Amino acid sequence: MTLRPRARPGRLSVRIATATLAVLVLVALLAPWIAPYDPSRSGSADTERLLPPSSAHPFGTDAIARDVFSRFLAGTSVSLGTAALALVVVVVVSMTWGGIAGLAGPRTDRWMMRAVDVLLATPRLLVLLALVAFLGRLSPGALALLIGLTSWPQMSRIVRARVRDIAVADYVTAARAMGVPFRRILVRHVLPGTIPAVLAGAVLTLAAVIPLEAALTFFGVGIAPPTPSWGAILHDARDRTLDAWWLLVFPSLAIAATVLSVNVLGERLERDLAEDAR
Amino acid sequence: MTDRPLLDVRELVVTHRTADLGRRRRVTAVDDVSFSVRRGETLALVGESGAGKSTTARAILRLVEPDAGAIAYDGADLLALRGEALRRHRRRMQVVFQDPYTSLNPRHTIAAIVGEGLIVHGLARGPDVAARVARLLDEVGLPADVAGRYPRALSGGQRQRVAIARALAVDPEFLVLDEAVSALDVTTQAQVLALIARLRDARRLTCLFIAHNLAVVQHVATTVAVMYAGRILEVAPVAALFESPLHPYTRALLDAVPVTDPRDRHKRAPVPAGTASVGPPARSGCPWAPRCTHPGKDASCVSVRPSLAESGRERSVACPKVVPPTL
Amino acid sequence: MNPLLSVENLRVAFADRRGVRVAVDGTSFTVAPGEVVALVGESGSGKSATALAIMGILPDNARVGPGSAIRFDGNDLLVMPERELRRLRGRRLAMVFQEPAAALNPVMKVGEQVAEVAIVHGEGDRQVARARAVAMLERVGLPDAARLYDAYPHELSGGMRQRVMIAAALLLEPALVIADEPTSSLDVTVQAQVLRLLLELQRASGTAVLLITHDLGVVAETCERAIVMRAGRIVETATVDDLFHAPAHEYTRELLAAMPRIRKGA
Repeated sequence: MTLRPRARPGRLSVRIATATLAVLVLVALLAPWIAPYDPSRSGSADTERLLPPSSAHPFGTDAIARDVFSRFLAGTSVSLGTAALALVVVVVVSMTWGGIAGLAGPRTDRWMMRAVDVLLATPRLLVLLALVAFLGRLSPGALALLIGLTSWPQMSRIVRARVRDIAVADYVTAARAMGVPFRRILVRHVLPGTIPAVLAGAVLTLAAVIPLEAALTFFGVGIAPPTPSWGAILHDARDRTLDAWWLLVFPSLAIAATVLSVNVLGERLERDLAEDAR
Repeated sequence: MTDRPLLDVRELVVTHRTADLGRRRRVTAVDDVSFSVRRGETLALVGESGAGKSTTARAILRLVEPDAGAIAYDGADLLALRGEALRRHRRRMQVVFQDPYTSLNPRHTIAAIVGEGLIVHGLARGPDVAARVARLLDEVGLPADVAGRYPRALSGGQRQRVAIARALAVDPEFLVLDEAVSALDVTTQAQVLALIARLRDARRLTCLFIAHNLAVVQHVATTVAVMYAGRILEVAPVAALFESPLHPYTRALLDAVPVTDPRDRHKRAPVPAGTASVGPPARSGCPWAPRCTHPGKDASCVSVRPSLAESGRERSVACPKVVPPTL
Repeated sequence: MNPLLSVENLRVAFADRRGVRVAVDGTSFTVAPGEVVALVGESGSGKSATALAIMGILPDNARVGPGSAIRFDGNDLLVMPERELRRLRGRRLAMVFQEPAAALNPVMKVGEQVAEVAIVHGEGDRQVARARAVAMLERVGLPDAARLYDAYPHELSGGMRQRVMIAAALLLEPALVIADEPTSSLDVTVQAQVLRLLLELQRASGTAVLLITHDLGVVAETCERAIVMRAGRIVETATVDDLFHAPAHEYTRELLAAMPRIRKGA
């Protein structure tokens, strides 16, 4: 038995993943122009409600006769946008926090990471639910911010660990010996070296955040209606899973496809970046 | 012009904690070390691994804080510098590290690496930086187009030249070379050593040259200090050290340099038999004692810690069996 | 006499995302039984890749070129299935690596790592293997071998760890030992002893040694014959005396000239 290093995603997987994400991102950006109907246009005629997929309505209609396909397209922008914003918050806060903790002296490191430990010990979902209950229904931006602010501690640990490894590298010592100030060392020498790790962490974070928004909205505590999102469509599917399968299937497939593609690309990117730095 | 040394180290002690698979100990890396370097001199600090030479260098460079002792640079207390004053001092004292594969940031271009010192110390800005970088690259024998490339495109010898250029960018007076050629191929070593000697003379640098190979040191040093287990065992001008080594460890070091001719194979000093020759240095008394084969070795070698005693013109040795302590 | 090892037209290349890098470019040489041969070269010469190819432990991204063969005991190692290679390794063919700290398992007692060689090749049960390991640790000059059996690598100095590696490599008296820079990571005062030990053991059991090194001084001390490599090719093969006194190739002359020498006397 030869020990093989973990195989990295092959060209085909990467192509499929890239294509999937490219399509979804394009959809997210172009949704207002390509949606065949106004996503919020509802009707009261019984003949138009809960129709299965057809040529007129590729994804069917929902309980108030809205075209699900149009809602899906608009929802893509919202779901992906929310996830992306949450991710940005996570990355910025964790890199700053983890970066300073890892590079500064042991005392600073200790209290900064103790704070992280405390945050990690609090159950995120409960905190989110409590906040939402307190703040009422949220806009996508507000939800993104909240998700971001409750998800960064995990990533900051990863950043700090990498920073500590890099901080003892000869080139960092050389920068110290040259009199390069702390902030410049952190930003120009150390943090760039954490990018492969941050990317890996970002993949995991994204893969967790996308379903999180969907789940919260599905439970009725996420994005307020009538704003469409994948979770919102799922919300409508709640009591109708067997009758109106199209309300369940399309958003679920979209979420699964996105998470899978993000994982594949993230793995490949991480590999390539790690090789480059040798 | 005073005769005061540029660098004066007194009773330096540096310890660090090791985490050795669960067991944590305090290791004394530098154990009461004193020496000085005069302007224009090149002091070679020679010793094997674990001798404490790199730690000594890092203490002098204020990259590691000593536990005790005093370091004076150009008459001023080096250890008292802090903050901005320390930053500004760093211009005067630069370093070239051993490993050319880890001492250059792999994500920066050569121009960025060499120019950073200039930027950070406000010595140049804008297009001026590129011009000065070009001059420095030329000085170390690298073609100008290297500036836009990344370290991974360069060989070990070329990277080390970049490291030298980086150090010289801020016009230091004191240069620490921490095993700067040890990781290079033999043919490259010779070239880079020649470069260092040339630059040292052209810029009138004072150098601390750290090495584990005595042969390398002979060409470049004015004075040699031999270290073992954190202590200095002998100091002598370079010619004297090679001609008449006094300390038993210095002799062992010289004897251990491999022959350069297969016909000399059998002329080497016989390796002492017995397992005493593999042990770690002693904690009390003379650290070399367990492996020492000097005929005068006795019980006092293990119980009494010898200190450096003068033994002639500019020489000192830490071995009472070789140089009797003056009464 | 038939050569023990015959490397024929060896080609090794490494493939990564950026392309293919040829490490060994068609080299051929032999090692006779009991001979001590040096494979000399600087970094990038391909000497380490050669060693890994012989042992069959090249990394996954290595490609061994067409038309190459490595004959040992009459068999071509390059086409031998892993199962059979494993039977050879340790018993007929052994390797001593440059970094003993990396080659030894840090959480396993050193004595056990030596004994493991015997156990894995069916040379006796735990008792017998332990006894043989202790005897071997003594032979390589380690003090208090019975007690040292139970020590962990981090408790030993670099020179001692290297002796443990040699003990493990020579336990079953293999026909060929490949020593890849065995003393490069050791202090100079320990190097001489370890080399001497290696030669002593080699002489006693008739083991051939392929010594891979960049240090001509080591070659002068220990070897009978030397093969000089540069950029994947062999540039010169000669007896050690010829190499030092009548070098044929310019690169060899360059290497000799660059050797740091001590000038005795003013």
